[in-house]
Amino acid sequence: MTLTNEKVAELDKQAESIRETIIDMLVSAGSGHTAGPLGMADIFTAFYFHILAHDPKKLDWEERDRLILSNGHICPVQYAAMAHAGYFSVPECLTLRKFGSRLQGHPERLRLPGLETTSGPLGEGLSQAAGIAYAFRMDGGEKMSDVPRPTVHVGRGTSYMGVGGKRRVYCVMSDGEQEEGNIWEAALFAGKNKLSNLTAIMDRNNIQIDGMTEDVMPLEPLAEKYRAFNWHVLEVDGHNITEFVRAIDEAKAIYEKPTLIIAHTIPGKGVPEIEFDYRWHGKPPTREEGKRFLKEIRTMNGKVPHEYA
Amino acid sequence: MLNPDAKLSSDVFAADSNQKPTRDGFGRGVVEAGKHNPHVVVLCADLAESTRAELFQKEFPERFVEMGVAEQNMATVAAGMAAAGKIPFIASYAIFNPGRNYEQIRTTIALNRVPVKICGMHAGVSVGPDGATHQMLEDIGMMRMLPGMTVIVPCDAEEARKAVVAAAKTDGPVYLRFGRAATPVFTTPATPFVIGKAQILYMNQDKGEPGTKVGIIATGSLVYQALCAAKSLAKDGIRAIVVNLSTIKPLD
Repeated sequence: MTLTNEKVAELDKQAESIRETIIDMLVSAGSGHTAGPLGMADIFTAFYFHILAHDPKKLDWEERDRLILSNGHICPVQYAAMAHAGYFSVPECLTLRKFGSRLQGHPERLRLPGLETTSGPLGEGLSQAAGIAYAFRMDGGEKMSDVPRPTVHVGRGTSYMGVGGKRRVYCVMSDGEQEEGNIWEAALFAGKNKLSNLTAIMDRNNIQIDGMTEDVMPLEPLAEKYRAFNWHVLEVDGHNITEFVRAIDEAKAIYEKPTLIIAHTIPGKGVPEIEFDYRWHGKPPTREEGKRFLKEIRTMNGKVPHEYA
Repeated sequence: MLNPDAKLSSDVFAADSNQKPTRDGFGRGVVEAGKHNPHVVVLCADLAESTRAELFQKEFPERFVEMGVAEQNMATVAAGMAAAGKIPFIASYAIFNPGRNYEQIRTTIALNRVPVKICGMHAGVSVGPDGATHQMLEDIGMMRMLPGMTVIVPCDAEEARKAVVAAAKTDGPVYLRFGRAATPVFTTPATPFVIGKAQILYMNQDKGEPGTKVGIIATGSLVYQALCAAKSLAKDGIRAIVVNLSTIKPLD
């Protein structure tokens, strides 16, 4: 999985296109979240263009990896990444939040094939991801067919459990949603059951709607908390794709524990005038701002205008 | 008279009739479902004995998942397991499941339309001495409002067993409501049970005969009380019909 310099350059360019699409989507929708999706563009690019075993043309492929988005409100970045990866057309992104659109303001699995779950209410993704990881391990890596189940001992600390085949389960969650109790119930469960096929990624951008997380409800020390819950914890720069991919690879090598990757990100990343500003958590750019933001994204990277801006 | 098609037990009105709590039917039914389908799993929130989930735990330890006292996590882990091809039954007291984890059920099970079977034990006032905090009266209302949710309230332990077996074969989410107290078992293995079908248990000898004054539609443990009432009314010359509405949603 080691990335070549050429591949990194390609992924960085892809992330820029995804950021541009996010701005276009939000301007078109007239409502929605800006900071989180921009901040997670590099990580979603890494997932959809390098990490995930997936096939946009074969959505029911049993052996695909599963990516659960827990903080559903950053779905513009997932929609944009999925569109660029070939799940649907990029122009469909402009239907975000429109009446009848498959791209609702929070993701709905039944509407948009390719999503693994419906989310929005916070704190619920980690449990779902843990449930999938647990089920995969019960199956011992077998496909979900009607073949007789192998007898595996699950849920008992002393029994060795298979790793559940090659399928990996990823959960993207926010830092603000760590304030939900459900998250810590999930953390206990995954730690108890040593769900090594589960990797959680926390978008540590330090903002939430009412301000900075450490003012609203202090979360630190997050790494120590998860370690105390029997997790393997890594911290990376969430805008450095090479570093992030290396952490994903390390998680695969950890056989005794689930892994949490705390990805430090800059909310609004790519648009300097809104970076770090919590007020951009839950509002979209106006048309004028959108034009300016697109220019900033391109200036930042020295790229020519994207054809459908 | 009793509807012969309902094939109720012959000693329905015997004072010392067989009494069992409907949760016993859950325990037996889910073992049966587990034997039939290897994808059936049971999740329980630290109440294996009183929910009767322990019967499944003994039979299929590898498919029993102890969740601890964490009903929100139980519902959401079950949603994930269902998305991965399992048929999870989640068991706890109704006041916690769906009382505590309602929103998790709404978002991750109902809106997601995954086949999680929510089993609420000790529902209603049947939990008596535990007091108001544990008497779950709102669960039927909460669950029947959710999109795609089937809601079943078995009338006795035998119907409970059949309802659990049927729920395992049903696509989509199901809420099953069980009681704590032992109540008469008056249906038999031969009594028909179909999800979504109400059934006349007590009626006039001549179906077409005018003069029926009272129709009683009952659900859960009150069905037996309705039968007793109909019999009592008959002594006074008042003709009544009793319907067992075990499926609250979809309504027959």
